[in-house]
Amino acid sequence: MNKKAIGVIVAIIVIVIVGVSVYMLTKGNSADEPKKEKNETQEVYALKVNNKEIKLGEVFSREKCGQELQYSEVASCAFDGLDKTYTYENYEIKTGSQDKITSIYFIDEGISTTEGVKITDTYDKMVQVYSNNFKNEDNKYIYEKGNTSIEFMVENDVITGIEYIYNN
Amino acid sequence: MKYLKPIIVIIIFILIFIFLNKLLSPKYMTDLVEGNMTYEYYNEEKNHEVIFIGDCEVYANFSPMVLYEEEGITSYIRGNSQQLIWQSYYMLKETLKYETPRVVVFNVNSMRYSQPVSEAYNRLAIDKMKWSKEKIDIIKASMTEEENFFSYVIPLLRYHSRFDKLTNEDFEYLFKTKNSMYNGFLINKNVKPVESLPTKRRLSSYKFEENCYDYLNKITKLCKENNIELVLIKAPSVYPYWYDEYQEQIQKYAKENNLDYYNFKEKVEEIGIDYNIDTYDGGLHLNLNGATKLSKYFSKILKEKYRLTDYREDEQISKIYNEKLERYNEAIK
Repeated sequence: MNKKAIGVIVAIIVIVIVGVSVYMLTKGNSADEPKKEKNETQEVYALKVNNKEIKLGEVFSREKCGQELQYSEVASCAFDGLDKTYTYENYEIKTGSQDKITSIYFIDEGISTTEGVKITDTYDKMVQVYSNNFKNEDNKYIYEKGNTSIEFMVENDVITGIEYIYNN
Repeated sequence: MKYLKPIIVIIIFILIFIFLNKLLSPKYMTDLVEGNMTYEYYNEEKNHEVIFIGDCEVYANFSPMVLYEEEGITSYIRGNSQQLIWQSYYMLKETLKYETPRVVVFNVNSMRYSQPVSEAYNRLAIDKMKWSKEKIDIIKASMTEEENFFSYVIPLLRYHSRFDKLTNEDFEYLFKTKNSMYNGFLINKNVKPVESLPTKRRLSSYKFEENCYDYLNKITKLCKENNIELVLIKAPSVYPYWYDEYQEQIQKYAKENNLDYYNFKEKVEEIGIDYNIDTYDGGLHLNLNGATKLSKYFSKILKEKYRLTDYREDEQISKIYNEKLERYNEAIK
């Protein structure tokens, strides 16, 4: 191998090592660093039940949410931690890491959103209350607020499903 | 001579770099052993007549040692936690570089996931895969939006902050490895009965995505090209729910492609599974007891339907498997 070739190889190796080092120093995210929390003070969707406001992203408490009718937990395939589900008469609260509320799912029409929309209401009522500023995926209509969203499932112009979701 | 000094410096740099890469990468030996599943296959004798591919529903529910003990079937599970369908495809492609089984068993649960789900699971499946075109393809297909390809090439990019979290495991297994699985089967002896499950939710769409069908077609084609019998299965997990609409789509696909499909959830009584004692996590996965029952049941189907060889009569292979059985029997005590 001639001197020129060796010089080129050395230069490439130096560039790679320096490049990787710079990347590592500048790239903050890593395997064990928790993701930075999004601004918790921003406006989010919340469900009002019995004059208490259940906020997505906040830690689940029975004091606020009341005693559930049924509790179930699902373990992940490999990692520690459980997805917990607290079932109430008309809705279900799911929590994820650190017991934060990640979803409020409406089981039936016995409960309305804080803004007054329930399962069996019409698509027109949804638009009237929440505007037509939604994202549409198949028969799903999604309204976003901060790091939360509310999703309506609509079939034949009738709402058949409602879920609040925390987009962490 | 002029270049000797810089070359030595560079070599030292490279050695330090390689060492740090190795030291800081998770070892998956005593904690999160699921991360070593892909790697364990490479140390195996490649003589399997049956290869399982799929997610945790294969590695927790089927015991190749039972298949051998019952019917003399040689098999291996190339499964990982939350192994997505494109990952199963590339795992199968990689496997075919080493061996050509007579039967490939694919668990269809992953048909419900059309997008990369989580980096953590990607890492478990991919980190320890040997470099090949399949590894490059599997990374490209699996990456979530936040991930980048080079962090798989140079793990140090991803794991550099593990410095203060290193444990004894990181040093003990720096240059060595050990098997935690039994031909890809992960033993779990715990018992947690099925008690209550979350509500069966209405979905906005029950139709499997095009992307999933594409990979299922690729798996089917790959098997046909290699003269391999592809068998579709659905493990008998009670959760996540396997909707009737899912079942119908797989039945239709199997019929159209002339494939066998077994949904073991429909055969629970026949198999003898009791969800009070045969699951370790409330019905998501079977425990050792349940997996033994299911494997015994499936071994008969495999043997009769696909006329597999009884390797208990093969001197060379039975010697290997008897050693494996010894280790397995010790572990299940």
